[in-house]
Amino acid sequence: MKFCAVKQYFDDENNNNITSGASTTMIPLPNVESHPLAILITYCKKHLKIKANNADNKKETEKEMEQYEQELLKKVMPQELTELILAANYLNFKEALDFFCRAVASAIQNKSIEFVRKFFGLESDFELGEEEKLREEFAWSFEGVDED
Amino acid sequence: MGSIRAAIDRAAYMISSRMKQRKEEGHAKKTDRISVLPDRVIYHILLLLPTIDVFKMISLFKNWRRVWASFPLVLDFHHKFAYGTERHNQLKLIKFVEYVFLILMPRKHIARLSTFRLNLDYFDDDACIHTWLSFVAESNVEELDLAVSYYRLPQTILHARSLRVLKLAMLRLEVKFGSIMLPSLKTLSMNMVMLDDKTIYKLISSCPALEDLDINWCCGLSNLQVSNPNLKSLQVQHRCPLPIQIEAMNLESFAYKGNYDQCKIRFVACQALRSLSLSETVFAEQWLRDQISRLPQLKNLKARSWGIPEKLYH
Repeated sequence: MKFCAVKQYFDDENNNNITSGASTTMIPLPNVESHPLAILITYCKKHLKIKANNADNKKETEKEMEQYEQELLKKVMPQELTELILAANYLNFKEALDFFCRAVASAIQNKSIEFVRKFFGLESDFELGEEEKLREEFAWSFEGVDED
Repeated sequence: MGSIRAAIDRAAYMISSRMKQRKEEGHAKKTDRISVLPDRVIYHILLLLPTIDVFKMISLFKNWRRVWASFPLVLDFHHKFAYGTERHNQLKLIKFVEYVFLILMPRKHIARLSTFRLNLDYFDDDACIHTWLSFVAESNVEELDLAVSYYRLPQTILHARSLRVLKLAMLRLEVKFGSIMLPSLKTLSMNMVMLDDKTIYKLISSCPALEDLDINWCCGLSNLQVSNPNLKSLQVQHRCPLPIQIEAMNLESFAYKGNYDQCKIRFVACQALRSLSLSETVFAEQWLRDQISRLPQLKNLKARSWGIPEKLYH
Protein backbone atom coordinates (compact mmCIF):
# COMPACT_ATOMS: atom_id res chain seq x y z
CA MET A 1 0.00 0.00 0.00
CA LYS A 2 1.48 3.29 -1.04
CA PHE A 3 -0.05 5.52 1.59
CA CYS A 4 2.04 4.20 4.45
CA ALA A 5 0.25 6.25 7.09
CA VAL A 6 -3.07 4.70 6.07
CA LYS A 7 -1.52 1.24 6.05
CA GLN A 8 -0.31 1.77 9.57
CA TYR A 9 -3.81 2.73 10.57
CA PHE A 10 -5.13 -0.58 9.23
CA ASP A 11 -2.34 -2.50 10.94
CA ASP A 12 -3.11 -0.81 14.22
CA GLU A 13 -6.80 -1.61 13.87
CA ASN A 14 -6.00 -5.28 13.35
CA ASN A 15 -3.78 -5.27 16.40
CA ASN A 16 -6.58 -3.88 18.53
CA ASN A 17 -8.96 -6.54 17.26
CA ILE A 18 -11.53 -4.17 15.93
CA THR A 19 -13.72 -6.07 13.55
CA SER A 20 -14.07 -4.04 10.42
CA GLY A 21 -16.89 -5.96 8.84
CA ALA A 22 -17.90 -3.02 6.69
CA SER A 23 -15.91 -2.62 3.49
CA THR A 24 -15.70 1.10 3.96
CA THR A 25 -13.80 2.41 6.95
CA MET A 26 -13.55 6.03 7.95
CA ILE A 27 -9.93 6.99 8.41
CA PRO A 28 -9.27 10.37 9.95
CA LEU A 29 -6.75 12.38 7.96
CA PRO A 30 -6.91 15.70 9.72
CA ASN A 31 -3.86 17.14 8.10
CA VAL A 32 -4.87 16.65 4.48
CA GLU A 33 -7.23 18.85 2.50
CA SER A 34 -9.61 17.09 0.15
CA HIS A 35 -8.23 18.64 -3.02
CA PRO A 36 -4.60 17.51 -2.69
CA LEU A 37 -5.83 14.16 -1.44
CA ALA A 38 -7.85 13.67 -4.62
CA ILE A 39 -4.80 14.45 -6.74
CA LEU A 40 -2.66 12.06 -4.71
CA ILE A 41 -5.18 9.27 -5.08
CA THR A 42 -5.29 9.76 -8.85
CA TYR A 43 -1.49 9.79 -8.94
CA CYS A 44 -1.33 6.62 -6.90
CA LYS A 45 -3.87 4.78 -9.04
CA LYS A 46 -2.10 5.86 -12.23
CA HIS A 47 1.25 4.77 -10.82
CA LEU A 48 -0.02 1.32 -9.92
CA LYS A 49 -1.79 0.97 -13.27
CA ILE A 50 1.33 1.85 -15.26
CA LYS A 51 3.40 -0.47 -13.11
CA ALA A 52 0.97 -3.34 -13.76
CA ASN A 53 0.91 -2.66 -17.49
CA ASN A 54 4.65 -2.74 -17.81
CA ALA A 55 5.40 -5.51 -15.36
CA ASP A 56 8.81 -6.47 -16.69
CA ASN A 57 9.95 -3.37 -18.42
CA LYS A 58 11.21 -0.90 -15.86
CA LYS A 59 12.26 1.64 -18.47
CA GLU A 60 8.81 1.71 -20.02
CA THR A 61 7.29 2.29 -16.59
CA GLU A 62 9.59 5.22 -15.98
CA LYS A 63 8.90 6.72 -19.37
CA GLU A 64 5.15 6.50 -19.01
CA MET A 65 5.26 7.87 -15.49
CA GLU A 66 7.34 10.80 -16.73
CA GLN A 67 4.80 11.57 -19.43
CA TYR A 68 1.96 11.40 -16.92
CA GLU A 69 3.89 13.59 -14.48
CA GLN A 70 4.54 16.23 -17.16
CA GLU A 71 0.83 16.42 -17.94
CA LEU A 72 -0.10 16.53 -14.29
CA LEU A 73 2.25 19.44 -13.69
CA LYS A 74 0.47 21.46 -16.35
CA LYS A 75 -2.81 21.10 -14.48
CA VAL A 76 -1.47 21.82 -11.01
CA MET A 77 -1.04 25.40 -9.87
CA PRO A 78 2.47 26.08 -8.53
CA GLN A 79 1.00 27.30 -5.25
CA GLU A 80 -0.70 23.96 -4.76
CA LEU A 81 2.64 22.15 -4.86
CA THR A 82 3.46 22.94 -1.25
CA GLU A 83 0.10 21.56 -0.13
CA LEU A 84 0.67 18.45 -2.19
CA ILE A 85 4.08 18.01 -0.63
CA LEU A 86 2.64 18.32 2.85
CA ALA A 87 -0.09 15.83 2.05
CA ALA A 88 2.33 13.34 0.49
CA ASN A 89 4.64 13.72 3.48
CA TYR A 90 1.87 13.18 6.02
CA LEU A 91 0.63 10.12 4.16
CA ASN A 92 4.20 8.88 3.83
CA PHE A 93 3.76 8.43 0.08
CA LYS A 94 7.39 8.34 -1.01
CA GLU A 95 7.05 8.42 -4.81
CA ALA A 96 4.63 11.35 -4.83
CA LEU A 97 6.73 13.26 -2.30
CA ASP A 98 9.80 12.78 -4.44
CA PHE A 99 7.95 13.89 -7.57
CA PHE A 100 6.47 17.04 -6.04
CA CYS A 101 9.79 18.02 -4.45
CA ARG A 102 11.42 17.70 -7.85
CA ALA A 103 8.65 19.83 -9.32
CA VAL A 104 9.22 22.55 -6.72
CA ALA A 105 12.99 22.43 -7.20
CA SER A 106 12.73 22.84 -10.97
CA ALA A 107 10.14 25.59 -10.53
CA ILE A 108 12.36 27.73 -8.33
CA GLN A 109 15.69 26.95 -10.01
CA ASN A 110 17.50 29.95 -11.36
CA LYS A 111 14.67 32.35 -10.57
CA SER A 112 14.80 35.75 -8.91
CA ILE A 113 14.14 36.11 -5.19
CA GLU A 114 10.91 37.99 -5.82
CA PHE A 115 9.66 35.01 -7.78
CA VAL A 116 10.63 32.60 -5.02
CA ARG A 117 8.94 34.79 -2.40
CA LYS A 118 5.75 34.93 -4.46
CA PHE A 119 5.92 31.20 -5.07
CA PHE A 120 5.97 30.31 -1.41
CA GLY A 121 3.73 33.21 -0.45
CA LEU A 122 6.02 34.52 2.22
CA GLU A 123 8.09 37.58 2.79
CA SER A 124 11.66 36.90 3.83
CA ASP A 125 11.79 36.40 7.57
CA PHE A 126 15.15 38.03 8.13
CA GLU A 127 15.25 41.57 9.48
CA LEU A 128 16.09 44.33 7.05
CA GLY A 129 19.74 44.77 7.96
CA GLU A 130 20.41 41.03 8.07
CA GLU A 131 18.88 40.50 4.66
CA GLU A 132 21.07 43.13 3.05
CA LYS A 133 24.16 41.55 4.56
CA LEU A 134 23.16 38.11 3.32
CA ARG A 135 22.38 39.44 -0.13
CA GLU A 136 25.87 40.88 -0.35
CA GLU A 137 27.39 37.67 0.88
CA PHE A 138 25.61 35.62 -1.74
CA ALA A 139 25.43 38.22 -4.49
CA TRP A 140 26.75 35.73 -7.01
CA SER A 141 23.64 33.59 -6.68
CA PHE A 142 21.33 36.46 -7.60
CA GLU A 143 22.85 37.18 -10.98
CA GLY A 144 21.92 35.78 -14.32
CA VAL A 145 18.53 34.50 -13.28
CA ASP A 146 15.70 33.51 -15.58
CA GLU A 147 12.74 35.72 -16.37
CA ASP A 148 9.77 35.03 -14.15
CA MET B 1 4.97 -0.73 18.95
CA GLY B 2 3.30 1.66 16.64
CA SER B 3 -0.27 1.92 17.79
CA ILE B 4 0.00 4.17 20.84
CA ARG B 5 2.68 6.28 19.24
CA ALA B 6 0.64 6.59 16.06
CA ALA B 7 -2.41 7.61 18.02
CA ILE B 8 -0.45 10.28 19.86
CA ASP B 9 0.96 11.51 16.57
CA ARG B 10 -2.49 11.70 15.06
CA ALA B 11 -3.81 13.56 18.07
CA ALA B 12 -0.90 15.98 17.92
CA TYR B 13 -1.55 16.62 14.27
CA MET B 14 -5.22 17.22 14.92
CA ILE B 15 -4.48 19.69 17.68
CA SER B 16 -1.81 21.56 15.76
CA SER B 17 -3.90 21.76 12.62
CA ARG B 18 -6.84 23.11 14.64
CA MET B 19 -4.55 25.69 16.17
CA LYS B 20 -3.20 26.57 12.76
CA GLN B 21 -6.73 26.94 11.43
CA ARG B 22 -7.60 29.34 14.21
CA LYS B 23 -4.41 31.32 13.66
CA GLU B 24 -5.14 31.57 9.96
CA GLU B 25 -8.67 32.65 10.56
CA GLY B 26 -7.28 35.44 12.70
CA HIS B 27 -5.03 36.70 9.88
CA ALA B 28 -6.49 37.99 6.71
CA LYS B 29 -3.24 37.58 4.75
CA LYS B 30 -2.03 34.76 2.52
CA THR B 31 -1.06 31.37 3.88
CA ASP B 32 2.32 30.97 5.43
CA ARG B 33 3.24 27.84 3.55
CA ILE B 34 6.98 27.83 3.72
CA SER B 35 7.36 27.55 7.48
CA VAL B 36 5.03 24.57 7.54
CA LEU B 37 7.35 22.37 5.49
CA PRO B 38 9.04 19.81 7.73
CA ASP B 39 12.84 19.74 7.94
CA ARG B 40 13.41 16.55 6.02
CA VAL B 41 11.31 17.84 3.11
CA ILE B 42 13.30 21.08 3.07
CA TYR B 43 16.52 19.05 3.03
CA HIS B 44 15.15 16.92 0.20
CA ILE B 45 14.44 20.01 -1.90
CA LEU B 46 17.83 21.54 -1.04
CA LEU B 47 19.52 18.39 -2.33
CA LEU B 48 17.71 18.78 -5.64
CA LEU B 49 18.78 22.39 -6.14
CA PRO B 50 22.08 23.52 -7.65
CA THR B 51 24.36 25.10 -5.03
CA ILE B 52 23.67 28.57 -6.35
CA ASP B 53 19.96 28.22 -5.70
CA VAL B 54 20.62 26.64 -2.32
CA PHE B 55 22.32 29.80 -1.20
CA LYS B 56 19.51 31.89 -2.54
CA MET B 57 17.00 29.91 -0.50
CA ILE B 58 18.98 30.00 2.71
CA SER B 59 19.41 33.73 2.46
CA LEU B 60 15.65 34.12 2.24
CA PHE B 61 14.19 31.86 4.88
CA LYS B 62 15.44 31.27 8.41
CA ASN B 63 14.33 27.69 8.78
CA TRP B 64 15.86 26.73 5.43
CA ARG B 65 19.12 28.21 6.70
CA ARG B 66 18.77 26.23 9.91
CA VAL B 67 18.22 22.97 8.02
CA TRP B 68 21.17 23.68 5.74
CA ALA B 69 23.38 24.34 8.73
CA SER B 70 22.49 21.13 10.51
CA PHE B 71 22.36 18.48 7.79
CA PRO B 72 25.38 17.02 5.91
CA LEU B 73 26.66 19.54 3.41
CA VAL B 74 26.53 18.89 -0.32
CA LEU B 75 28.49 21.34 -2.46
CA ASP B 76 28.00 21.21 -6.18
CA PHE B 77 29.96 23.63 -8.34
CA HIS B 78 29.85 23.68 -12.06
CA HIS B 79 30.68 26.35 -14.52
CA LYS B 80 30.86 26.47 -18.25
CA PHE B 81 33.48 28.77 -19.57
CA ALA B 82 33.77 29.87 -23.12
CA TYR B 83 37.23 29.48 -24.46
CA GLY B 84 39.09 32.67 -25.23
CA THR B 85 40.04 35.75 -23.33
CA GLU B 86 36.89 37.87 -23.57
CA ARG B 87 36.73 40.29 -20.73
CA HIS B 88 33.19 39.25 -19.83
CA ASN B 89 34.22 35.62 -19.42
CA GLN B 90 37.26 36.58 -17.38
CA LEU B 91 35.11 38.53 -14.94
CA LYS B 92 32.72 35.62 -14.65
CA LEU B 93 35.66 33.36 -13.94
CA ILE B 94 37.03 35.62 -11.20
CA LYS B 95 33.61 35.85 -9.59
CA PHE B 96 33.17 32.11 -9.71
CA VAL B 97 36.51 31.55 -7.98
CA GLU B 98 35.63 34.06 -5.27
CA TYR B 99 32.31 32.37 -4.78
CA VAL B 100 33.82 28.93 -4.30
CA PHE B 101 36.34 30.25 -1.77
CA LEU B 102 33.58 32.11 0.03
CA ILE B 103 31.71 28.91 0.55
CA LEU B 104 34.65 26.66 1.34
CA MET B 105 36.58 28.90 3.70
CA PRO B 106 34.39 28.87 6.81
CA ARG B 107 35.88 26.02 8.77
CA LYS B 108 32.61 25.12 10.44
CA HIS B 109 31.21 24.08 7.05
CA ILE B 110 34.14 21.80 6.37
CA ALA B 111 33.39 19.57 9.32
CA ARG B 112 30.11 18.35 7.85
CA LEU B 113 30.94 18.29 4.14
CA SER B 114 29.57 15.04 2.79
CA THR B 115 29.59 15.54 -0.98
CA PHE B 116 31.74 17.73 -3.17
CA ARG B 117 31.24 18.07 -6.90
CA LEU B 118 33.31 20.21 -9.19
CA ASN B 119 32.57 20.26 -12.87
CA LEU B 120 34.56 22.73 -14.94
CA ASP B 121 35.06 22.53 -18.65
CA TYR B 122 38.43 24.11 -18.60
CA PHE B 123 40.29 25.84 -15.81
CA ASP B 124 43.93 26.75 -16.04
CA ASP B 125 44.54 27.60 -12.40
CA ASP B 126 45.55 24.26 -10.91
CA ALA B 127 46.76 25.91 -7.69
CA CYS B 128 43.28 27.20 -7.01
CA ILE B 129 41.75 23.77 -7.28
CA HIS B 130 44.54 22.32 -5.12
CA THR B 131 43.53 24.74 -2.37
CA TRP B 132 39.87 23.85 -2.64
CA LEU B 133 40.66 20.15 -2.58
CA SER B 134 42.90 20.57 0.46
CA PHE B 135 39.86 21.92 2.33
CA VAL B 136 37.82 19.03 1.06
CA ALA B 137 40.47 16.52 2.10
CA GLU B 138 40.31 17.90 5.67
CA SER B 139 36.61 17.22 5.86
CA ASN B 140 34.76 13.95 6.25
CA VAL B 141 33.82 13.98 2.60
CA GLU B 142 32.10 10.80 1.47
CA GLU B 143 31.53 11.51 -2.17
CA LEU B 144 33.86 13.35 -4.49
CA ASP B 145 33.00 14.10 -8.07
CA LEU B 146 35.64 15.90 -10.13
CA ALA B 147 35.51 16.75 -13.80
CA VAL B 148 38.17 19.26 -14.78
CA SER B 149 40.01 18.93 -18.06
CA TYR B 150 43.71 18.18 -17.76
CA TYR B 151 43.84 18.88 -14.05
CA ARG B 152 46.53 16.88 -12.27
CA LEU B 153 44.97 15.32 -9.21
CA PRO B 154 47.06 15.76 -6.05
CA GLN B 155 47.77 12.76 -3.87
CA THR B 156 46.13 14.26 -0.77
CA ILE B 157 42.78 13.09 -2.10
CA LEU B 158 44.12 9.58 -2.35
CA HIS B 159 44.43 9.44 1.44
CA ALA B 160 40.90 10.48 2.29
CA ARG B 161 39.83 7.90 4.84
CA SER B 162 36.13 8.76 4.71
CA LEU B 163 35.74 8.64 0.93
CA ARG B 164 33.12 6.15 -0.26
CA VAL B 165 32.45 7.30 -3.81
CA LEU B 166 35.04 8.74 -6.15
CA LYS B 167 34.16 9.89 -9.65
CA LEU B 168 36.87 11.35 -11.83
CA ALA B 169 36.57 12.66 -15.37
CA MET B 170 38.99 14.17 -17.86
CA LEU B 171 41.76 14.76 -15.40
CA ARG B 172 45.29 13.41 -15.02
CA LEU B 173 46.38 10.99 -12.40
CA GLU B 174 49.88 9.79 -11.73
CA VAL B 175 51.18 7.98 -8.69
CA LYS B 176 54.84 7.12 -9.13
CA PHE B 177 56.01 6.97 -5.54
CA GLY B 178 54.08 7.06 -2.32
CA SER B 179 51.03 5.19 -1.29
CA ILE B 180 47.33 5.33 -1.87
CA MET B 181 45.01 4.65 1.04
CA LEU B 182 41.27 4.64 0.47
CA PRO B 183 39.95 2.18 3.05
CA SER B 184 36.27 3.14 2.72
CA LEU B 185 36.05 3.48 -1.04
CA LYS B 186 33.21 1.42 -2.45
CA THR B 187 32.62 3.00 -5.85
CA LEU B 188 35.25 4.22 -8.26
CA SER B 189 34.43 5.62 -11.64
CA MET B 190 36.93 7.03 -14.13
CA ASN B 191 35.86 8.59 -17.40
CA MET B 192 38.45 9.79 -19.89
CA VAL B 193 41.11 10.01 -17.22
CA MET B 194 44.77 10.06 -18.26
CA LEU B 195 46.73 7.54 -16.27
CA ASP B 196 49.22 4.76 -16.82
CA ASP B 197 49.14 1.04 -16.05
CA LYS B 198 51.15 1.31 -12.86
CA THR B 199 48.93 4.03 -11.41
CA ILE B 200 45.68 2.26 -12.12
CA TYR B 201 47.00 -1.03 -10.76
CA LYS B 202 48.08 0.68 -7.56
CA LEU B 203 44.79 2.50 -7.25
CA ILE B 204 42.64 -0.58 -7.68
CA SER B 205 44.75 -2.66 -5.32
CA SER B 206 44.72 0.00 -2.58
CA CYS B 207 40.97 -0.02 -2.13
CA PRO B 208 40.13 -3.04 0.03
CA ALA B 209 36.42 -2.17 0.21
CA LEU B 210 35.98 -1.52 -3.50
CA GLU B 211 32.85 -3.04 -5.00
CA ASP B 212 32.02 -1.10 -8.16
CA LEU B 213 34.61 -0.09 -10.72
CA ASP B 214 34.08 1.77 -14.00
CA ILE B 215 36.95 2.43 -16.39
CA ASN B 216 35.69 4.26 -19.44
CA TRP B 217 37.83 5.53 -22.29
CA CYS B 218 40.87 6.24 -20.17
CA CYS B 219 44.06 6.99 -22.05
CA GLY B 220 47.59 5.98 -21.26
CA LEU B 221 46.76 2.33 -20.65
CA SER B 222 48.57 -0.43 -22.50
CA ASN B 223 47.83 -3.39 -20.26
CA LEU B 224 45.03 -3.27 -17.72
CA GLN B 225 45.36 -5.49 -14.67
CA VAL B 226 42.42 -5.53 -12.34
CA SER B 227 43.20 -7.21 -9.08
CA ASN B 228 40.91 -6.79 -6.09
CA PRO B 229 39.48 -9.36 -3.68
CA ASN B 230 36.14 -7.63 -2.95
CA LEU B 231 35.25 -6.24 -6.34
CA LYS B 232 31.68 -7.12 -7.34
CA SER B 233 31.03 -5.22 -10.54
CA LEU B 234 33.38 -4.08 -13.30
CA GLN B 235 32.75 -2.10 -16.44
CA VAL B 236 35.38 -1.28 -19.05
CA GLN B 237 34.91 0.72 -22.23
CA HIS B 238 37.88 1.43 -24.41
CA ARG B 239 38.69 2.92 -27.79
CA CYS B 240 41.40 0.53 -28.92
CA PRO B 241 42.24 -3.12 -28.27
CA LEU B 242 43.34 -3.36 -24.65
CA PRO B 243 44.79 -6.46 -22.99
CA ILE B 244 42.89 -6.93 -19.75
CA GLN B 245 43.59 -9.42 -16.95
CA ILE B 246 40.97 -9.78 -14.29
CA GLU B 247 41.74 -11.38 -10.97
CA ALA B 248 38.73 -10.80 -8.73
CA MET B 249 37.36 -13.79 -6.90
CA ASN B 250 34.15 -12.05 -5.83
CA LEU B 251 33.41 -10.41 -9.14
CA GLU B 252 29.76 -10.98 -10.09
CA SER B 253 29.27 -8.83 -13.14
CA PHE B 254 31.56 -7.68 -15.95
CA ALA B 255 30.72 -5.61 -18.99
CA TYR B 256 33.12 -4.70 -21.77
CA LYS B 257 32.56 -2.48 -24.74
CA GLY B 258 35.26 -2.10 -27.36
CA ASN B 259 35.51 -0.10 -30.51
CA TYR B 260 34.72 -2.85 -33.01
CA ASP B 261 38.18 -4.25 -32.41
CA GLN B 262 39.91 -7.23 -30.91
CA CYS B 263 38.91 -8.53 -27.52
CA LYS B 264 41.96 -9.29 -25.37
CA ILE B 265 40.46 -10.22 -22.07
CA ARG B 266 41.73 -12.91 -19.76
CA PHE B 267 39.86 -14.10 -16.69
CA VAL B 268 42.54 -15.23 -14.30
CA ALA B 269 40.39 -15.96 -11.25
CA CYS B 270 36.72 -15.04 -11.50
CA GLN B 271 34.92 -18.03 -10.14
CA ALA B 272 31.99 -15.97 -8.87
CA LEU B 273 31.16 -14.28 -12.16
CA ARG B 274 27.43 -14.49 -12.90
CA SER B 275 26.88 -11.92 -15.59
CA LEU B 276 29.09 -11.27 -18.61
CA SER B 277 28.54 -8.81 -21.41
CA LEU B 278 30.86 -8.27 -24.37
CA SER B 279 29.80 -5.82 -27.03
CA GLU B 280 31.31 -4.11 -30.06
CA THR B 281 34.35 -6.34 -29.93
CA VAL B 282 35.76 -9.21 -31.95
CA PHE B 283 36.57 -12.66 -30.56
CA ALA B 284 36.77 -16.25 -31.71
CA GLU B 285 34.08 -18.70 -30.70
CA GLN B 286 36.66 -21.03 -29.24
CA TRP B 287 37.99 -18.26 -27.07
CA LEU B 288 34.53 -17.61 -25.68
CA ARG B 289 33.99 -21.30 -24.95
CA ASP B 290 37.32 -21.43 -23.14
CA GLN B 291 36.39 -18.46 -20.99
CA ILE B 292 32.95 -19.84 -20.16
CA SER B 293 34.46 -23.14 -19.09
CA ARG B 294 36.35 -21.24 -16.41
CA LEU B 295 33.26 -19.42 -15.13
CA PRO B 296 31.13 -21.99 -13.30
CA GLN B 297 28.60 -19.49 -11.89
CA LEU B 298 27.82 -17.82 -15.19
CA LYS B 299 24.07 -17.25 -15.65
CA ASN B 300 23.69 -14.22 -17.94
CA LEU B 301 25.75 -14.09 -21.06
CA LYS B 302 25.50 -11.42 -23.70
CA ALA B 303 28.32 -11.86 -26.14
CA ARG B 304 28.29 -11.64 -29.88
CA SER B 305 31.45 -11.15 -31.83
CA TRP B 306 31.45 -8.17 -34.11
CA GLY B 307 32.72 -9.91 -37.18
CA ILE B 308 35.19 -12.72 -37.61
CA PRO B 309 38.64 -12.35 -36.10
CA GLU B 310 41.49 -12.19 -38.59
CA LYS B 311 43.61 -14.64 -36.74
CA LEU B 312 42.91 -16.97 -33.86
CA TYR B 313 44.39 -16.04 -30.53
CA HIS B 314 44.08 -17.32 -26.99
